[in-house]
Amino acid sequence: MEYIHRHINPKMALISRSFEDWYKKFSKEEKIWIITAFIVAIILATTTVTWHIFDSKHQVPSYSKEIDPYVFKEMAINFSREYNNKFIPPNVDIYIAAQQYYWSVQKIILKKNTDYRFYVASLDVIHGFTIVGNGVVYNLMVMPGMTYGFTINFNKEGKYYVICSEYCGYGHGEMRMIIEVIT
Amino acid sequence: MDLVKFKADNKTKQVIFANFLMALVSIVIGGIAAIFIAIGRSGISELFSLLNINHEYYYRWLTLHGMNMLIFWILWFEVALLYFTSTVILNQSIHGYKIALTSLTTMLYGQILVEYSILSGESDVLFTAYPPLAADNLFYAGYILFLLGTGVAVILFFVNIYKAKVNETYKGSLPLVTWGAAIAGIIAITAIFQGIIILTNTLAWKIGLISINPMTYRWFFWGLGHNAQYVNVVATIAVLYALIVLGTGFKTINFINERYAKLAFALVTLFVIPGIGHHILVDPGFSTILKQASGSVGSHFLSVPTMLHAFALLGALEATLRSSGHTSLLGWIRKIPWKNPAMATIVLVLISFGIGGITAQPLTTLQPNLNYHNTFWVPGHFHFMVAGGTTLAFMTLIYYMLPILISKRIYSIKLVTIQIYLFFLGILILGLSMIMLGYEGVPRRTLINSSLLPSWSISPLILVGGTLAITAGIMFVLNVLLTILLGKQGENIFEGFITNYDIKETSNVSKKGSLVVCFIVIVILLLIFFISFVRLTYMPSLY
Ligand code: HEM
Ligand SMILES: [Cu+2]
Ligand SMILES: [Cu+2]
Repeated sequence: MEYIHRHINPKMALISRSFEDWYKKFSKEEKIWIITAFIVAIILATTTVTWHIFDSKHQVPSYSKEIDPYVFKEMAINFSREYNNKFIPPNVDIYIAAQQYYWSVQKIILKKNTDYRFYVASLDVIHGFTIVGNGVVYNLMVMPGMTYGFTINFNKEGKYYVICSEYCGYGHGEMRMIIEVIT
Repeated sequence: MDLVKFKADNKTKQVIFANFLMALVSIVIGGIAAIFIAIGRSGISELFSLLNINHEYYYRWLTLHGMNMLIFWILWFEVALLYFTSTVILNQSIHGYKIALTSLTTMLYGQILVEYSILSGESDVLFTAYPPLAADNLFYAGYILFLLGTGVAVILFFVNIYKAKVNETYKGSLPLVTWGAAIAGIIAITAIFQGIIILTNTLAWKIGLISINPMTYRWFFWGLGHNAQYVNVVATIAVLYALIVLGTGFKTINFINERYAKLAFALVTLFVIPGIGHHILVDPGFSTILKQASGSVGSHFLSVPTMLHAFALLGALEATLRSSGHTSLLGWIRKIPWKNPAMATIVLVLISFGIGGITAQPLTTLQPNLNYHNTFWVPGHFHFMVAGGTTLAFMTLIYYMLPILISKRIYSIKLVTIQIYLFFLGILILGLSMIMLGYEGVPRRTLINSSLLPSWSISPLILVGGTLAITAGIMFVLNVLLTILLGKQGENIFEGFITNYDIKETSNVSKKGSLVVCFIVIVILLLIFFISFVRLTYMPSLY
C-alpha cells in the first residue's frame, strides 16, 4: 500500500487516462495476433461450412416436420406391435416415440451396413435421443409435435443403447432401449 | 490518488457490500448443492443412502446448483462489480441510492421465491426450465423478478457513468475496467430483455392464458443464457485487467495497450448475438443454414475477442517481468510471482479459459456437436469457463475489493493463496473427468447407472475434484467472514497482495514469449477441432 502512495500516477491504472495516453498504435506482435485469431476463426468456419463436400454422410439431419402427437403415437404403436424385439427388414421405416419415461420399443435388431430410416418425436416433454456403445455417441433432440427424420447406417455389429439425454423428469435416467446390430 | 481513500461515500460502499453479501449467500447454497450432485454423479451408490440421494432429490439439488451458481452468485457479484466500477473507480458516490436499494430488494424477493419453490419440490425443472416440463408459478415469477432487479441495476450503472462524465469526476477516457464493465452491461441488457420476455410468456402459459412452443422457448431462453454467459466472459476479463494492475502495484499498466483491449471488448458485442444458435444445433425445426451461420460460424468469430484478450493479459505479464530483468524467450514464465494472489489467478484463469475455449470448438461446430451435445463434455467445458474462470477471478477480486470496502486486512493471506490453487486443482480434475466421460457418451443432467459401459468407471474422479473445489470454497467463505468479523483495520491492508517490480524500460518491450504460448494453444485447438471431425467419420453414417 505504501508503495502505491509513493509511486502512483493519478492518470493511470484503474483510474482513467487521457486519450493521448492510451490510444496507442498496435505493436507488431499485436498485429500478428489479431490476424492469426481471425485466420483461426476463418479456418474453423470454412471447415464446417464446406464439410459436406468431403463427407455428406455425417451431417446433422435436416428433415423435420410438424406432426400431431396423436397421429405420431398411432404410427409408433403400430411399429412397436409389429417389430418390437424383432429384426427390422432394411426397407421398413422405424418410428420411435419418446414418453415419460420410456421409448415406444424396447429393442430392435438391425443389419450391419444397411441404411435405416428413423422417425422420432416426443408425445409429452422434450427428450434426447442418444445412441451410445461401441465407440459411438450420437445425440439428437426429440421435440413434442415435431418429427425428426434421419438415416443411419451402423458399420459395426454389437449392442447399442439408446438413452435419454435431455432431462424430462424423475425417471429420466431410466429411459433406455437397445439397438442390436447383426451381420 | 489513493486506493483506500477513494471518494465514494459509505452509502455507496454499503450498496456494493450488500450485493456482494448476497453473492456470498448464493455461492454457499450452490456449493452445498454441489456436494450432493458430485456424489450423485460419482456413481458411488454406497453414498447415496447416506445423503438420501435418489432421482427426485438429485434433480432438485441440480436445479438448486444451476440457479444459485450460474444465475444468483454470478449476477449478484456482477451487479456489485458494476456499481464498483461506476462509482468507486470513477471517484464518485452512487447516484440513485434508493433505486439501488429497490433493485436489491427486487432481486432478493425474486431469489427467495425461486429458492422456496425449488425446495418445496414443485420446481424440479433445472435452471433451463424447458416447457412443456412445468415448474411452479412462483419459480417463473421469482426468476422474472430477479432479472428485473438486475436490469434496473444495469441501467443505474449507465446512469452513474453518465453522471461521472457530466460532473467530470474523472479526467480523460473511461478506465479500461469500467469500459469492460460497460460492454458487459450492454450485453446484459440484451440478455435480460430476452429472458424477461420468454419467462413472462412461460408464466402466462403455465397459468393457462396462452400456448407456448418449446422450440421458441429454447431459442429465447438461450438468448438469455448465451448472452449472459458473454456478460460473464467480459466481466471476467475486465476483472483480470483490474487484478493485473492491482497485483503489480500498477506497474503492468504501461504494458497494456488500452486501445487494443478496448477494441477487443467492443468486438464481443458484434459477434455475441449470432452465437445463440450453438444451443440448438441438433434440434429439429430449425434450418441447417441458420444453425450453420448462427451457431457455428457466428460462434467461431466470437472466440476471436477472447483470444485477443488472452494475448494482451499474458503479454502484459511477460513485459513486466522482462523489463525487470528476465529476458529469455520463455524464461519469464518461471519468474511469475506464483504466490501473488492476483498473478496466480490471472495465469490459472487463462489456463482455465484456454481449456474451456478449446473444448468449446467441437461443441459449437455443427457436425461434431452430434457427438458432444448434452453429454458430460458440456458441463466439463463450462466449469472451466464459469468455475475455473469467472468464479476464480471473482473470488480473487473480492480479496482485493473487500479491504477497500471495509478498510480491513484479509484475515489470512496464506489461506488466500492455498485456496486459489486448491480451487483450480479441484475444478481441473472435475472438468477433465467430465470431459473424458462426455467423450464416451455419458449424458449430462442424468442420474444414471454408470456401469452401463465399462469405460464410465472414472466417474468417482468427479467426487475427488468436487471435494477439493468445495473445500477451497469453504476456505474462501471462511476467510471472507473472518475478515468481515475479525479483520484488522490499519494502514497496510494490501500487504502480501502486491509484488513490486523495478521496471527499467517501458517502451518496446518484447512480448514474443506470449505469442509463442498463444500459438501453441492455437495448434492444440486446431488439432482437437480436426480430430473431432476425424472421429465423426469413423462413426456410423447419419444424415
Ligand atoms: C464447487 C464445486 C463444484 C462442483 C463439485 C460442481 C459439480 C457439478 C456437476 C457434477 C454438474 C453436472 C451435473 C449433471 O449434469 O448431472 C454441475 C453442473 C453445473 N454446474 Fe457445477 N460444480 C461446482 C461449481 C460450480 C460453479 C462455481 C458454477 C458456476 C459459477 C457451477 C455451475 C454449474 C452449472 C450452471 C451446471 C449445470 C446445471 C444443469 O445442467 O442444469 N458449478 N456442477
Ligand atoms: Cu429424459
Ligand atoms: Cu452460448
